[in-house]
Amino acid sequence: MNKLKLILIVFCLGFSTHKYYVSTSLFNFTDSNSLQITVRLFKDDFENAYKNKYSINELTENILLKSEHHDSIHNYFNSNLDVFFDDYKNQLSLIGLESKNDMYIFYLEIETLPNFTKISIDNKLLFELYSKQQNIIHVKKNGIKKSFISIENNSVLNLDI
Amino acid sequence: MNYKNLVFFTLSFFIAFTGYSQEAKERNQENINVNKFRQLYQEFSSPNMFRTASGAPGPAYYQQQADYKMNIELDDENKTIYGNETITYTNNSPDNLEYLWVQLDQNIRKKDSPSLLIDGGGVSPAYLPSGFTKEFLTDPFDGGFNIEYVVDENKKPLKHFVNQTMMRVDLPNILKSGESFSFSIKWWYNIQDHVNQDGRSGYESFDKDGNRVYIIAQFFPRMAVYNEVEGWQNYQFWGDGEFALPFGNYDVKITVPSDHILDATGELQNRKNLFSKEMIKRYNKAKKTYDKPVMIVTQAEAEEAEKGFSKKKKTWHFQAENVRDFAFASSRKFIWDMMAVKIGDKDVMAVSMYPKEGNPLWEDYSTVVVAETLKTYSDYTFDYPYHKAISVHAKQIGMEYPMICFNFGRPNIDGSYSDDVKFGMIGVIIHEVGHNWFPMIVNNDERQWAWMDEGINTFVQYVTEQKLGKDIPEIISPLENYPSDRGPANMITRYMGVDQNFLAPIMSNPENVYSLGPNAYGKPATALNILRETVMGRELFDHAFKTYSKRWMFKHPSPEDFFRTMEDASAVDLDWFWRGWFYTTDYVDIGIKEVNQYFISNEPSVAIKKIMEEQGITKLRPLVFLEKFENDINSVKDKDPLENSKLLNNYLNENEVSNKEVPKFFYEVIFEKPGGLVMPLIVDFEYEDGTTKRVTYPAQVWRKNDKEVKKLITSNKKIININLDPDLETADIDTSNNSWPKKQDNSEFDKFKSKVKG
Repeated sequence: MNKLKLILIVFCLGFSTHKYYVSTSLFNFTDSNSLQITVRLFKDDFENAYKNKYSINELTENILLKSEHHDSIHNYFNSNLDVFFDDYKNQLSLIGLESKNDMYIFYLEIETLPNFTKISIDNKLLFELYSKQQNIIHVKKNGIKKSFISIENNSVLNLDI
Repeated sequence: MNYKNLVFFTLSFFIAFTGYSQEAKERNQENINVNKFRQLYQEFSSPNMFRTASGAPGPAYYQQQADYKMNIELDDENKTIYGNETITYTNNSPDNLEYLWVQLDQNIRKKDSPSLLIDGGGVSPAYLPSGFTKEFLTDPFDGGFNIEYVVDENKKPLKHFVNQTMMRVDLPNILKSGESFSFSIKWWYNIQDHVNQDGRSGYESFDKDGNRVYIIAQFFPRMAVYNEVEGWQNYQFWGDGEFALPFGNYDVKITVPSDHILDATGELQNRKNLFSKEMIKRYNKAKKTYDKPVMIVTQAEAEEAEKGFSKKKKTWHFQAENVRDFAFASSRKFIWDMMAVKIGDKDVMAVSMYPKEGNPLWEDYSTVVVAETLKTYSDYTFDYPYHKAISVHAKQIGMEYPMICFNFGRPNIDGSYSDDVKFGMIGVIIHEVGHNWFPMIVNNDERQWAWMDEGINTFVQYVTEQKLGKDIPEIISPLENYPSDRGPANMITRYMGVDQNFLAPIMSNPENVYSLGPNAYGKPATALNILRETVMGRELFDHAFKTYSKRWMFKHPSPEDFFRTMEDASAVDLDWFWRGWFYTTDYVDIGIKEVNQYFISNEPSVAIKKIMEEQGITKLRPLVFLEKFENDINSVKDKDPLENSKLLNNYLNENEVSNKEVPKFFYEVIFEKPGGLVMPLIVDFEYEDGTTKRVTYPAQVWRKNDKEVKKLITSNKKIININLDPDLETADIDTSNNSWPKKQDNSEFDKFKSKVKG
């Protein structure tokens, strides 16, 4: 089962519906000068966000995984997850998504990186729905790791490279 | 000392002490013991006559007793519950008591409860309509206890004062050691909708027919714990920190509509008045059926009962001995099944109660899982001492009480369900039934230490899940192992690797941590699993764990009692483990920093030559030299070592040596430890002939240098791979540095990308 559940739900405490609104994203700078982004979101959270943005009433996993939704999902990420190199915003390409237990895993990429001295990541995923949403960001570059939690009023991670 | 010897002496002195001179320069200004293996004298409370250094109850150990006699009435029409209770409190402490403290947990639902005000949170730029309505358009629920009176045995009012979720009752005379005091409280409160208003108890409404399922708990004023650790409990109920309760005997009469089915903590005293002849017959059959549940109330009968709303009442009478709490569930919607389980030489009844909305999941799995849980927990701790264990289906709740618990896991309306729902339900049933041991019987203070019951229980839950997968493989088929989501070491690494600002040690109050799930459930359960599988071994661990359970059965253990018993019963000093895992937020990250390969050289090695030059040494006594592979300028590294070192060859010929096989390969492996936690080094050496040797260096390998440790490995076969923690059993948060040569990790991302792009 999904490892992430560990972080996310107060499972057997007796709190009904007491869910922690959390997502995790890994930003991996590869040796081949690309940035690979892996985002994990709870299925119900993402489906709610997607329905909300595109005014859809009915949405199932099978429908969402169909490639005709690729562009709108791509669009959702480019408007809620910003990556800046030296203050210039870069577009993300969506490689695809897959479903694992109660999560969707999204794979996004910037294939060729510009030269830069500073990177900023603004992760506002799901903020439009949940005020308690926390987006955990892990950045990996040259074996160095940095973690950050984006919250409503503090959503930007700035890193000097 | 002749000249040659002098040179050798200087040389070895120099080599041995280079490290020392460097350290001396950067000497730690703070001259205190920071060794990871120092004992926990500062953290632990001192052993005393109440709690011994061995972790067992001491000769002066005592605990208070609270006995209850209660009359309860559930008003289904008005969703209200009324009660009248008489508490007899016995002071077994050596102290004189001037007042008693009673817990009023329902007061957390009062409109003016301070607990509503303690969480921060900003604005959302957008809301779902349902969320908006709940947040802004809902009147606060009018909950909390209404206390009608508090009187003594002669009906004389007692002075009392309510402070949030606790009530002080002033005693007319000091309650001396060994004395008892009886008093009565009359109360009522409005029951909340636990589906829409949260909580650990309440009702669920089934709108189509107006029926409700009640799961009722924390429903009566309960005595707080008084002991030698805290005095009276003075930590309010804020919502996360659960309960601390003394043991006692209960005599409870519950009046509900006559068409309700009800079960509760304790033995039912008036079964004959309540059960039809057919139900008695089925019940007697269940008492002798060990292989599958027997229906006491069938689905058809429950559906029939749902149609009416009886105005008549019935009273269910229960008695329970030596329990720390009392809870019940009541509804006309209940389907009811039971099955006997042999525990030791006793029969225990495994029971389930669920509305039809739980089927087909519940009739298939609930009671079977209760039975399996009773067996496995009894094996690892002590035999289940009560006569029954009930699993009640509630939509979103998992919550435990003595002999009875409320569990989630609901199929879709058409009866279909995913594996997530099924295994979520089985997991929560094991967990909540397991809570009968921790904290219902091994009765820790949950208000202070959630991990002592949640963490320890989640660990035994994991063991039980894995055993269930082996005992009843058809439940998990086609999977080979039960898909546990807490317990295995590699499942906690994501949590332990997050930003330190969002972590708190396990030894924290549950109100003050960010993510209680991994903090109080996942991490301690994983820590215990690692102790069992990797640090202590199953035999030592299981014996010590059983010792703890038995020592504190029907008593109140503190954290030290657990830590101390685990060491005392196993002769394994674990202070380093408790310190790292329970008192800090350190994580495990151990890696292979460097591997240097050496061979036996025919001439002084480059390193020796350098020292000779620096020191002006011109002659050496005869020595065997180890040279680095990259300095093999004469290409002799693949030659027979004895051919390279005539000196060694001669020595071996002239002396008695038990093993004359000279190793050909010398590997200096440098292990580094970027993480703060100390762990054993589990290393697989893979040789070129395809064989593998595993060596486990105990955690104590780090005792003199917490950052780095070198090991010299000799071999006749070439080592082609070295893998650290190959079975992922130490919770290493970064495994990219765990192998030599470094493995090019094909990341999850690359795998997905090549799948998509073909």
